[in-house]
Amino acid sequence: MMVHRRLLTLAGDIRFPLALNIVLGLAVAAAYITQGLLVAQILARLLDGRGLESTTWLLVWLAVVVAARLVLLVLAEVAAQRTAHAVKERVRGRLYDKLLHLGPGYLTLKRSGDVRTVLVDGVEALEAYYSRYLPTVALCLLGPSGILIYLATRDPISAAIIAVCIVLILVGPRLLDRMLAQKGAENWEAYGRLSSDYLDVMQGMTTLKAFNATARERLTLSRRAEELREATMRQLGVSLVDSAVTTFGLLAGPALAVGVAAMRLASGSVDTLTLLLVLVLARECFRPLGDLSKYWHAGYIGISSSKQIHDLLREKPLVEEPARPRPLGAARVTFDNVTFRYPGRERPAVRGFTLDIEPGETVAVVGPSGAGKSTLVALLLRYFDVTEGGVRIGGVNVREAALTDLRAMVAVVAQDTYLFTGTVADNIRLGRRDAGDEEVVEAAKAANIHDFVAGLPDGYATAVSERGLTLSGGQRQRVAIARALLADAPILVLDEATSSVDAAGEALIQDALSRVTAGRTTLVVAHRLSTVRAADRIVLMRDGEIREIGDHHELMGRDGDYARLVAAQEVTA
Amino acid sequence: MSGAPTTDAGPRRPVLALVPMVFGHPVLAGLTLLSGLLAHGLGIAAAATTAWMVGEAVTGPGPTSLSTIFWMLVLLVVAAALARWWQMWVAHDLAYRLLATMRIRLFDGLERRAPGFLLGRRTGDLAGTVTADVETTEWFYAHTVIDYAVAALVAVGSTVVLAFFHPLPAVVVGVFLILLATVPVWLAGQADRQGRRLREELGVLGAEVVDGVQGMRELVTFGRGADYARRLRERTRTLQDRQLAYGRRSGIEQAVTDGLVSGGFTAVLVVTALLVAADDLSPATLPAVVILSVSAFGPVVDVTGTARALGQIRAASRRVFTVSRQRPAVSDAGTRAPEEPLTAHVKFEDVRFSYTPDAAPALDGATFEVRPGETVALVGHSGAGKSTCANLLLRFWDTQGGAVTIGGRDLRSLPQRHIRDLVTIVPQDVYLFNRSVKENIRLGRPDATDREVAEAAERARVAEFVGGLPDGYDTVCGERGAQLSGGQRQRVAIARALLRDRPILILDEAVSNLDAENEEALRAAVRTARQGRTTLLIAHRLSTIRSADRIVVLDKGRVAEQGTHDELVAANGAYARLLARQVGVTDENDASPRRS
Repeated sequence: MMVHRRLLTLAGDIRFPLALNIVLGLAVAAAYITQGLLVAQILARLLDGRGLESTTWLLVWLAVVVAARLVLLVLAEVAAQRTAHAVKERVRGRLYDKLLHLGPGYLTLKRSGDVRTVLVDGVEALEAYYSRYLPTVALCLLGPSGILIYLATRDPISAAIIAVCIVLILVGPRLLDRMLAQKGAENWEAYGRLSSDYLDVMQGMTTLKAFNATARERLTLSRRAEELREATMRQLGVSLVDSAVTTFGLLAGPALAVGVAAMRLASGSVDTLTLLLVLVLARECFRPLGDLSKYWHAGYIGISSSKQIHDLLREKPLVEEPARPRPLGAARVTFDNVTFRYPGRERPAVRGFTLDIEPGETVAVVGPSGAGKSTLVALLLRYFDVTEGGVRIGGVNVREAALTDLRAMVAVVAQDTYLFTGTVADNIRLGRRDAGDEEVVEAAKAANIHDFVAGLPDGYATAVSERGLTLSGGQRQRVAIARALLADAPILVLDEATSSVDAAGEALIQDALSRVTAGRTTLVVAHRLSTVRAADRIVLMRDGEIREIGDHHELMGRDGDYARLVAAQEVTA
Repeated sequence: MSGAPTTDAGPRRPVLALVPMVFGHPVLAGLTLLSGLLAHGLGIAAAATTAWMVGEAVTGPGPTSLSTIFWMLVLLVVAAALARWWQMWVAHDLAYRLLATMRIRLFDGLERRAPGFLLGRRTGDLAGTVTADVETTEWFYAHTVIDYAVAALVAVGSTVVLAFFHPLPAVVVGVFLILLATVPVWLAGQADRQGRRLREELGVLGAEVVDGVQGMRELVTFGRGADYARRLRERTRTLQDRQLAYGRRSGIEQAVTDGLVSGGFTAVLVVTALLVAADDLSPATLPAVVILSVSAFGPVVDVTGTARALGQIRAASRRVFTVSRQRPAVSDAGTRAPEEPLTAHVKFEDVRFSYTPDAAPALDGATFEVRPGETVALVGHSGAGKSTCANLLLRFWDTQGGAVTIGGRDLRSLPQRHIRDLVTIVPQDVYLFNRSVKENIRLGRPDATDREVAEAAERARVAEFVGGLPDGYDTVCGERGAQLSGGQRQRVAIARALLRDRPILILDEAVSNLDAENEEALRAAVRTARQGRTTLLIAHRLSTIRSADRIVVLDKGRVAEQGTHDELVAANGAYARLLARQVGVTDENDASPRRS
C-alpha cells in the first residue's frame, strides 16, 4: 500500500497543513511544467530557424517562472516542516498522556529505554513520512495524471507509453517488496543476532580481558561478521532489483515515448511541437516519481516506528478509575488476603497476604529480593489491581477511590527517588506545587538536607541534572523526605534501595525519618537494619508470603530467617 | 606504543577521517567508482541519444536511420538500469566490508581501554552507543563517499563531451557547475551552527522524556503528571523552532540549487541558439546539447542533497574514532614472560594510583602482602581503594608510584597475558554472556571437557540450581545474564574461576545487604574456590571477613590497620569502628535509637 491507514489515524486531523503542502507542491510542479512548455516552444522556434529574437518574450517568461519557483520551493519546505511539527507535537502529547494514564506500573513491566526511544526517536522518525512522503504521493497522483491528460489530447500514443512506465515504477518494486519481505526478514533477524552478540561481547570486555579471552572472541567475531556480510550481499543482490526497476522505468519512460514520437514525426503522424512537448513533459512526469522512490526509503523508518507508537497507544490501562469514586477514610492500611500475579507470570508475586497497619503505626517489610516487598507498595498505590483479596484504606477499597485521592493520601520516600532537571527547590516543591520558599526551606531543614543545600554554590537555585549536581543515595532520600513533608500525606511509604549510605549519612536519615514518620501510618520496605529495627512490627516475607512477624527482639529470639538475614548484614561498603 | 591521538574529543574532522578506510579495499573502491560512472554515464548517454533522435527527426533524416538510433536507445536504457543495480551492489559490498573492519577496530579500541572510562562513561555502557554508530556510517560508505567522486567525474565528463560539440556551451556549464558545487559552502557556517543547536535541543528533549519516564512514580504520586505533560509540549515547541530555522535555511539552499540549474540550462539554451543562428552548430545537435548540459547537473544536485545527513555521520564517526584510536591503558613494550614459574606471593609496596590526573588518589601509599596460599580480606568504606587493588593486580592499569609484585616481579615488567594467566577473578558485578551456562563457565578455559565443566559447576554449587533451568547447562543466560538471579550469577562466576584453576584468586564479594539468597551455598562455593590459592578477598560481610587469615583495613587509599580479627577487635581501632555500625550483631542489647 502506498498510504498507511495507521499513520493517517495516528496524526489526527492534518488535512489543512497537508493540503497546503500539496497545493504548494503542485504549484512547484506547475512551474516546472510551464518551464517545460516554454522550452518546448523556444526549441520549436529555433529548430524552425526563426532565430533567437522570436523567443525573447518566451525567455523573459522563463526567467519569471524560475524566480517564482524559487520562492515556492522555500515556502514548500517551510510548510512541510510545519506539517511534520504539527504531527509530532500531537503524537508526542498523546503518547505522554497515555503513559501517565498507564502509570508507573506499566513502566515496571517495560524497559524505560524502549519507552524513551518511542517518545523521542520514534516520533522524530515520523517526520519524513508526513513532510516528504505523503505530499509526494499526492503529487505523483495529481501531477503526472494532469500532464498525461493534456498530452493525451495532443498525442495519445506517447501518453500511453508514459503511463505504462509510470505503472511499472509504482507497482513493480512494491510487487517485489512482498516477494522479498520473507527473505529480508530472515536476513535482518540474523543481522540483529550478530549485532546483539557483538554488543554482548563489547559490554563484557572487562571479563574477557581478565580471562585472556579477547583474542579468541575477536577471531570468532570477525569470522561471523564475514559470514553475515556474505548472507547480506546475497539478499541485497535480489533486493536491489527494486532500484534497478525504478531506474529502468525512469529512463525508459521518456526515452521510449520520445523515440517512438520521433519515428512517428518522420512518418508525418505528429508535428514538431508535439514531439518537443513529449520531450520536456515526459521528464516532468517522472520527476515526482524519482522523488517518491527517494522519499519512500526516508518515510519507511516512520512506518516501522509507527507500529511501536501505535502499540503503545493501544495498551490497556492497568487500573480503571471508578465511575463513582468514594472518599477514603482514616489512615488505616489493610491488606486483606491479597494475592497478586504480574501479567504473563505464572507464580504470584504476593499470595494470601494479610496485614493491618494501625493509624500511626510503623510496619517494616523485609526479605530477599523477589519476595514481593515492592509489589505491596505498588498495590497500595494501585499501580496494579490485586488478583484476589483487597487493599483498603480506612475501610474503603482502593479500587473504589479516585486515583488522585488515593495518591494524595500516600507519600513515597524512596532512596532511588528521581531528581528532575531543574533547581533543588523545584525538586523539593514537587511535593506541593504552591509551597512558598519558606516552607521549602523548612521542609529541607526537617529532612536534614538544608545544610547540604545551603552549602551548594547557588543554594536552593542550584541546577540538578544529569550533568550538573549529582546527589548520593542518602541525599536523594533526604530530598524525598522533604517532599513528603511538604506533601503532608497521612500515609507514608518508605522504599529503600540496596545501595549503601555512610555512617554520617545514616544518622541524618534516621533523624529525619523519625520526624516524618511521627504521627503517620508508615509502611517501610527496607534493606538496612538500622531502619527496620525501630519499627513497631517487622514482617519477613519470602516467596510472596509472610513467614515471620513481630518486633526486632521477638524475631531475633526466634532464630529464623530474620536472625539469619541479620547475621549476613554487611559491615562495610 | 601507538602514535594515535588519545584525546576524548576524537579527530577534528571525523567525516574526512572515514575516507582513508575506503582505500583499504582498492579493488572494490575502484569498482564502485567505475560502476557509478557507468550508471550515470549510460543514463546521460540515453538522455542525449533521445535528444539526438529528436534533432534528427525534426531536421530531416541524417546518415543514421531513426530505427537504428531507437534500438541503440533501448540498449542504453537496459544497460543503464543494469549498471545501477551493479553500482548499488558493489557500493553495499564495500560498505559492509568496511563496517566489519570498523567493528573489529572498535573491539580493539575498547579492549585497550576496558574497564576504564571513555567519553565520560563506563566502557560497558558506551558499547551500545558505538555499536549503533557503526551502523550510521553505512550510509556514508554505501551512499555518500563514492557518490561524491562519481558526481565530480560525471560533471567533468559531460562538460568535456559538450566541448566536442562546441566549447562555448561547455564553458557556460562549467561556470554554473562550479557555482553549484559551492552552494553548501556558502551557508556551511550557519548550517553547522543550526545543526548543533538542533542536536542539543533534541538532547534536551530526550533528557526531559527520560525525566518523565523514570520519574513517573514521583509525578503520579504527587499528582503532577499534567504539569509535566505541559512542560514536555513546551519543549517540543522549542525544538520545532530550531527545526524550522534549520528547514528554512535548507529550503533556501534547495531553491538556490534549483535556480542555478535552471539558470545554467537557460544560459546554455540561449548560447546554443546563438551558435545555431550563426551556423557554428548544426540545428540537429541543438536538443542533444541542451539535454547533455542538463544531465551534467544531475549527479551534482543529487549529492548536495546527501550533505544533509553528514551532521549525524559526523557525530557518529567522532565517537567511533575516539574509541578505535584509543591508546592502551597499559602497554607491554619490552616485557618478557619469566623463564621460571613465579611463586604466588602478592605484594603491594607503597602503591600510589589515581584514575585521572585531577582525581583524588584511589591508592595513596598502600603496602600489604598476601603470602602464598593465604587469604587476606580487604575491608573499608566504599572508595577506600579495595577495587583499585583488584584492578592493579590484574594490571588493567599500571601503578603511578610504588609497585605491585607477584613472586618478586614487578607487574609492569610482565606481559598482561602472563599476569592474567596467574590471576583470576570472581568480580562483584558478574558479567554473563548471552550464551549457555556451559559456555559461560568454559570462558575460563575453552579447551575444558564437559566433565571438567560439570565438576567445576558441582564444586561451585551451580549444579544444584542448573537442574531447575529449562535446558540445564545449555540454558541461555539472557541479556547480561538476566535469566539467573544475582546469587546464581555469582556461583557461575565461581565455577568459571575454579575451572580456570589459577594460583592467585581475587574474590570481590557482592554488595547485597539483606538480600543474600541461598547464602550458605554461596559461602560454601567461595570456601572451595579459595582452597590452596593465594586469595585477595574484597569483603563486606562479617562472616566472610572472619573466614580470612588476615584482615587489611583500607582507609582513603592507605592501610589503616592489619592483623587477624581478634587482634583488630582488641586494638579497638578503625576495624572496630567499622564493625560498630553493624547493629544487631556486635551488640545485641543496645536500645532502639528512636521511637516515634
